[in-house]
Amino acid sequence: MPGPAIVQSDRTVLLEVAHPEFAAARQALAAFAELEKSPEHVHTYRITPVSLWNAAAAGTGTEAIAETLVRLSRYEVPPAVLADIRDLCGRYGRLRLVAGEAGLLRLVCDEPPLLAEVRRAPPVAELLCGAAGDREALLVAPARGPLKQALIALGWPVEDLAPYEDGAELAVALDDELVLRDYQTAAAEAFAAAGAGVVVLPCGSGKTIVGLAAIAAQRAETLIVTSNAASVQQWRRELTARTTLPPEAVGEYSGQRKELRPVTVTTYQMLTHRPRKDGGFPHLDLFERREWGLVIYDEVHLLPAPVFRATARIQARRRLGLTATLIREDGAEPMVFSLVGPKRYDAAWRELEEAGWIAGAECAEVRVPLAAEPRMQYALADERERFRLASTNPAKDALVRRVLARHPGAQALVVGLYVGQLRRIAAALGAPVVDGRTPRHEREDLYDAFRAGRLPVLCVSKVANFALDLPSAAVAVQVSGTFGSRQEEAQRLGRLLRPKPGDNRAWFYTLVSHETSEQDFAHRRQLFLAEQGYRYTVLTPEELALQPVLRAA
Amino acid sequence: MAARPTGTTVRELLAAAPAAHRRSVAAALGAGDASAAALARALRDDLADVVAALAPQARAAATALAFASPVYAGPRAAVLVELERHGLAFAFGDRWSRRYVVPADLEAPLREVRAAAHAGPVAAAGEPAAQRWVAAPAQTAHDAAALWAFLAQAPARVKADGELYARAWPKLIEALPPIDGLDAAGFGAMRVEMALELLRTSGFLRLRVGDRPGQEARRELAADGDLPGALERDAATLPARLLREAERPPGHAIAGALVRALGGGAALGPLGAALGRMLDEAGVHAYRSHDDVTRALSALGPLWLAGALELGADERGEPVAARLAPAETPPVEGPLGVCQSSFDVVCLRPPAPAERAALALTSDPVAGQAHVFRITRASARCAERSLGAGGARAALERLAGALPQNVERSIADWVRDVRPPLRLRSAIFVDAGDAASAEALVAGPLAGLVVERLGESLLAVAGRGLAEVERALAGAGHELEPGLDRVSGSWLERPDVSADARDRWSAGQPSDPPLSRAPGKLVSTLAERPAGAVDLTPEADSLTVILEALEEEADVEILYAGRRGITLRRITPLEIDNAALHAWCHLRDDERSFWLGSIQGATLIQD
Repeated sequence: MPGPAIVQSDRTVLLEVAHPEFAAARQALAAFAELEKSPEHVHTYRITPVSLWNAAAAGTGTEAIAETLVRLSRYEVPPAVLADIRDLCGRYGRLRLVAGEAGLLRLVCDEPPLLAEVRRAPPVAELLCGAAGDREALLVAPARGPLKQALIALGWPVEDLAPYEDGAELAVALDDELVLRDYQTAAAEAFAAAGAGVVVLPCGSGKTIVGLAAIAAQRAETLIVTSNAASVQQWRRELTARTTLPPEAVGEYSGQRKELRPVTVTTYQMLTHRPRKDGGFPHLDLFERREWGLVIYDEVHLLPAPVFRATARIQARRRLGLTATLIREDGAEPMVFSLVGPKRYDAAWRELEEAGWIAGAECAEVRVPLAAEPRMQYALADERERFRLASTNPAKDALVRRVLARHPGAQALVVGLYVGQLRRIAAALGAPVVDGRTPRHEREDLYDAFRAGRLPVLCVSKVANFALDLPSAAVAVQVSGTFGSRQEEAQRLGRLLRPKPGDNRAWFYTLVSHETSEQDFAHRRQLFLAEQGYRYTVLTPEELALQPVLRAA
Repeated sequence: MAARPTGTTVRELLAAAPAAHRRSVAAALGAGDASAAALARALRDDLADVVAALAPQARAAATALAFASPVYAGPRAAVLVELERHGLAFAFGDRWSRRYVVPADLEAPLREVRAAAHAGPVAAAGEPAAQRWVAAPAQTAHDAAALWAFLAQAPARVKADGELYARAWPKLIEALPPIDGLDAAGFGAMRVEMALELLRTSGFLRLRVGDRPGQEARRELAADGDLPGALERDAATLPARLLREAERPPGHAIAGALVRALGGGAALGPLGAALGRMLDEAGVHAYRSHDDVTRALSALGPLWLAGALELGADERGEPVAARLAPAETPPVEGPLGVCQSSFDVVCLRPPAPAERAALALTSDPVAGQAHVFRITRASARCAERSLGAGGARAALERLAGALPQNVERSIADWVRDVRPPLRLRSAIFVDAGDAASAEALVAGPLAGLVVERLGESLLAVAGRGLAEVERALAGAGHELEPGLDRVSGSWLERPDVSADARDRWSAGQPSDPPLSRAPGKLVSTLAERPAGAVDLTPEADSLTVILEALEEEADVEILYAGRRGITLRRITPLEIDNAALHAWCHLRDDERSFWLGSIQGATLIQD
């Protein structure tokens, strides 16, 4: 029996899903490689310097990694890959940060030549304030973060063993009724044991709960930074509903409200807001405005550069990163590794889905032909106009109703880029529209009604869609829109993945005009979603009519 | 790699040779007289003995041939003449170059003798020390498959003589599949040559002449036929055939014989040194600039690519040794891999050459990922064009089983408006003279070759099959009077010219001064030629004029039969290279290459 994996020379590992040893191999690989793509037959893992350092931080030895690869691999492992692994893994832990006397920290290394080499490197040299023999260098506490940054840039990740500050105490416990799932408990415990690091859990699996558990374990004042306003509201709701914290202990630091309370929730956007383009960041000092005992970075893969700089200054505080993926589009994984911390826990998406903790998702693309008249308009239009014409294809309007008819009893969102089109569809369906002009209170009312199950269908524009938290939606119909960034697409779908009653499946439809430039855009979304492991079907309107009706339980 | 005639034997050569030549061979072999019977007796024994008995100089000459093919007469003329004198080579050629070839039945004995003579020093170097061994099973077939698919997507421009432009090479090299575990960068050009040779001899290349308005005529080398199908059919015989092709140039065969003689393998350094000594002995300049290892690799590369050898690599992946490859494992059954809804085809076992071709045609490789291929709009359309309606999907299903629904749909959309290209075919008419003769030809020698009959006596044959028609007619004793120039190009002409070589047997005139590539020398040679010894055709007259112009740096007015008809041009000749004249063309006001065969007439302009 050949092995389940193929190791390629660009350090990707292909893992065959149908192989009998798949489950064991997945577990072994996840220790030192990041899952990059997970379509139906073969998953792609990528071994990166950071994934190897994560493994080293978790105590996985170099030879164990090499041995695993050789054992799993169907063919000879490219020698260069093994050599790289040995080289990269061997770098973690050779330099260590430990507590020193009189408020100083010590950079310790057992190899005098290595210490001498890094000490001479210009960015490191200016952060050190003295030496104690040829195996130790001294630094002041505030240099802790910048030093880690400088050293990882040189390719020498430091093992940070220096102690953390406990911060201001906070009386808090989890609500008695909240029962943590096994993986949530395991994640919270793995984090608590380390004090700083990242927990990787799939969208919809309850990362927030892990955050709450971390706060309750720490019993210290906490700053939570998240990616958008909807997420701020979600954190606030969860904090008050699922912990013993009184509402007045939870603050929101945003454009509207500048509350600074024992637990404060803010956004990356707020922290990096600059009144003048060339000015400073007035809100970045939030990290130092209270004695935070814990800082939680939600969606840590979105953490922007200025926040990295601020984070470098608070290395003595405990830090928890939460994310669905460690892969960043800007390649800043080493920064997350050195400043927030190594990966402490991750869970396989498939296993959570099988256990019913997250919903399975089905994606369908319906290719709608343009009628004769719009087709002629399309043929004569320029490139930009063509996309609009294809997107707002009138034939889509009637189709939305037919899609929704397939899911009686399920709550649905209709998402569109063009407000005119959305209004037209909403009018036909008798559903309300939320777009950029909808006042905030009205918007919240509609969302509340939807969450409470009083609204079967809600039409939202792209703008509103960014900041949406409507876990009860089981069906989303995208009638127009470009392919966003990969994270944007992942989040959009991720929001549909909360467990659903009945067969626990979420549906994501995309309506695309056939043989137009819109179809080319949709192809990128199709690729991305298939890579993420979602089932993707392409249908004609006629075939859609033949699909079975799916009644919600 | 230029074409070489094969298959002619010593006996055949001697039978056709002039009496004077037979006498000299008889003397060399110790035969009583030069009668056919005496020669046959002398040749009755194992040819290896004959070779062993021959003068060392002749053996050296054979080595000279082995490493340079085609061999243009010139500095090496003396050894080659010696070789001819011993009946170990024959020469054929056109008016300005001559090729020498060892008779087929002498190749192996010569090779063995040489290998035995040099195996000692190579063996003395001891066991090769390699970290690991890298095999390249049927690599040339894989490479050919990849290049064929590449040329199906992007035909490569060729010069008037059919040769590729220099800038095409890096692209072709890049299109080759990567070889795992070996720093194989140095093999690129060799791999492309081997692969193109395989495609050419199997008829999977064609010359496409583009005719876009407002542009100079473009000649392009494009893929032709159904290579995946052919590779599948030939799977069983392919390795043997590849080996034959790889062994044809005797230089490679000699190096291979050395490795075989050593059994356990050879370190490349001493092997290259032995080859170097052989070449020095023969006075050949081939590979002179190479170091020992590179020289050995150059000679062994084709065999390695044919799957006959394994290369030993050191820890950095650089080749240091070679040994015989164990017999190839039988191909694995079942589909090659799977197609995912992310449009990736993932190979779960190494592809067979036919699968490699289908894969390369239907999908794009992913950089750094040797096992992953991505189906794109362009790749699907290219496959559909090359394989016909429904071809893209069918080929993918053969490779990867059932396709995911979304992939199948997208492909159907992409290829909807693809039609296979229409082909412009050339036909040539053979005028049989009368109805009865035409009837006899169609029923007899030209059976299966005539595409269409026009009127009573005109027989249309496919332009590309002209060589075959010529042979068939010659075999039946008909003379074919060529009324047309043939489309020529080194990648397109079929290599079977042994009959041609026999016809032009010239060993009987050892005093014939060999023609040189160097124009100056050629002029003087022509001048020294005894009157009447050579039939000067108008073509040769043009050449004389051009050579004269080269000497005097003068302009020439030529009548040139180009693709768009005959033009009169004033040119300044710059250089003759192979069959092409590079010149400044005053008509186009640019540098141009002219095929010497198409220059219908030339006049020197005396300013």
